[in-house]
Amino acid sequence: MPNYPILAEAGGMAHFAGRFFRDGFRPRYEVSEWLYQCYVIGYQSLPLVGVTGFIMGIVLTLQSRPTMAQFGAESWIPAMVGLTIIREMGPIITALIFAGKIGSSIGAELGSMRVTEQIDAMEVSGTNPFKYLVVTRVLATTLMLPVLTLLADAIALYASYIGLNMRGVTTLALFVNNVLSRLAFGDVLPAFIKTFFFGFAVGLIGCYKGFYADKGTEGVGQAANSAVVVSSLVIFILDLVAVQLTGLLGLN
Amino acid sequence: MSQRTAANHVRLGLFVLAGLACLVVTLFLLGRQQNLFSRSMTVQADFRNVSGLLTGNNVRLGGIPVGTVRRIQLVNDSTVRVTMNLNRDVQPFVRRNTVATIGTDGLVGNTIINLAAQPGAAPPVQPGDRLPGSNPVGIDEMLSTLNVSNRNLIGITQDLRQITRKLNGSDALWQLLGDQGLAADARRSLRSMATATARLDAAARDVQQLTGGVRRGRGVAGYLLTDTAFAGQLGHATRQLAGTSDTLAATLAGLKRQVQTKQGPLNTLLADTAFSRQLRQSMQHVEQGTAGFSRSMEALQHNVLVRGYLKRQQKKQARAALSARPGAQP
Repeated sequence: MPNYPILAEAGGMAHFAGRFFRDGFRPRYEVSEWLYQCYVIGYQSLPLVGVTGFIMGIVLTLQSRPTMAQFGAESWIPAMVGLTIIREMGPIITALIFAGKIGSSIGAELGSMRVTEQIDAMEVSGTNPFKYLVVTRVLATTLMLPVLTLLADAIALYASYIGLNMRGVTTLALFVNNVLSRLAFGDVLPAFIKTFFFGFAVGLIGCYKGFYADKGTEGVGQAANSAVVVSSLVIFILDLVAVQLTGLLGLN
Repeated sequence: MSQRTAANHVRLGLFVLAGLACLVVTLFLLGRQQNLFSRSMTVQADFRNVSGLLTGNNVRLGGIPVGTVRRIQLVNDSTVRVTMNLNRDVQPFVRRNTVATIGTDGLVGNTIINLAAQPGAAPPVQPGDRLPGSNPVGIDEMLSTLNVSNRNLIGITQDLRQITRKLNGSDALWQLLGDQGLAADARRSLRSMATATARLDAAARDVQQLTGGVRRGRGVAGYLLTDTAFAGQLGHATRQLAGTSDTLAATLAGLKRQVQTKQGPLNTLLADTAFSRQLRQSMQHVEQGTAGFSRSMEALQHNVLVRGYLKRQQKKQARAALSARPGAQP
């Protein structure tokens, strides 16, 4: 059988995911560590994600204004920007930023623990390193990315409101009504649900890369780097799958 | 692992709650927009063509969203039944004769259903009622009408072009327009027209005075037109006339009857041929008699007994003729 590294990688990751589901829901639960990881992964990413969302909202608004004004459709900017942010830009930009920040940090952290043999030491001392390190982090990313995305959406929409008011006057009530008038459950819920998968992918890939890092300090950098690259790619693939699935469900 | 404190848990809790609050608020607003939380009722309307209406499109009453389209189904090959969810709050305002029409939100917006109130009283709509549907004016229809209009417009503009070309080429018209004296003439004509109208005005005033006089009963016409006693007399006279003509008609009818009855003397007079022959014979006899009489009279004149009388008569006649001649001496 020929040696395809990419297939081996995919198989290893699938096995890793299976192990997460097998071990993750069995006691004993590392609640305290999970909450701490949530704090680090979620709360401490908020400033970065918030700034990104704010800039995204304001830039989308200002960029779309000239074209929309050409068509005399300036009143449609809130609806268009709102749809763009909530359906696509919010989840995908937040997930990519999240992958850059959290995926790399998880990969580097676990990778350095692996190469300094802390993980082996944990195993020897009777703590399940997979539960303590991997399950907590993957659960934390899976649950925190949706929350971050929601907040980023909110911040981006507020930024869009500010962007509109830079060139004209719009009340917040009118803006909210404009955004909501074009929004349906089919726009919000699929976008919200797919962020769980994005978060899961970022956490799982970061942990996998770190957990199986080797070749010393060089391996740590490699783990961090490939965690970001692969999770970014997987995020886009998942997004494609998500858009196809929502299309099949008739929500597009 | 040094920051595992209660404060961090609070921050994490706040963070998560804020995120979830955003989601919940958005979903609640969306749900309220689609009337998920308000009590609603379903009504139906039938259309021939719904022009791309989708489930979830808005239903508007007087331009205000009052519900959403719940279901669209084909009933038969020419009828589409649309089931709508209407907000219960607007039930008193939607009457049973309200007409549902398919419209669009703006020129390129979503298809919507407009509910249009109709004049006339009707009870409020009840759940499950079927509203009368009116079919939309399709863009295709509009365009086909516009096509005809366009074609007509082409003809009209062509005609106009011909007319203007003819006008342009007409020397007489341009001479007329370029003639400076024409303006002066026109002004003069207008001035004389003004005096004429002034005279006409005076005449009209006279007529008005006249009619005013007539109305007040002055003059012959006024007497004729305003005197009520005269009208009564006229009425009496006409009544009399009518009575006379009635009598006449009766007389004539009697006469006619007389004529028509075979035994009457008139009929004999007019219709009996034997009688007319006898009459003619009698007349001949009379003629012969008078001729005889004339001869006897002639003979009598020459008789001695009457000659003296006749002479006196001749003399008297001659005197009368002399005195009648003017300036003549007897």
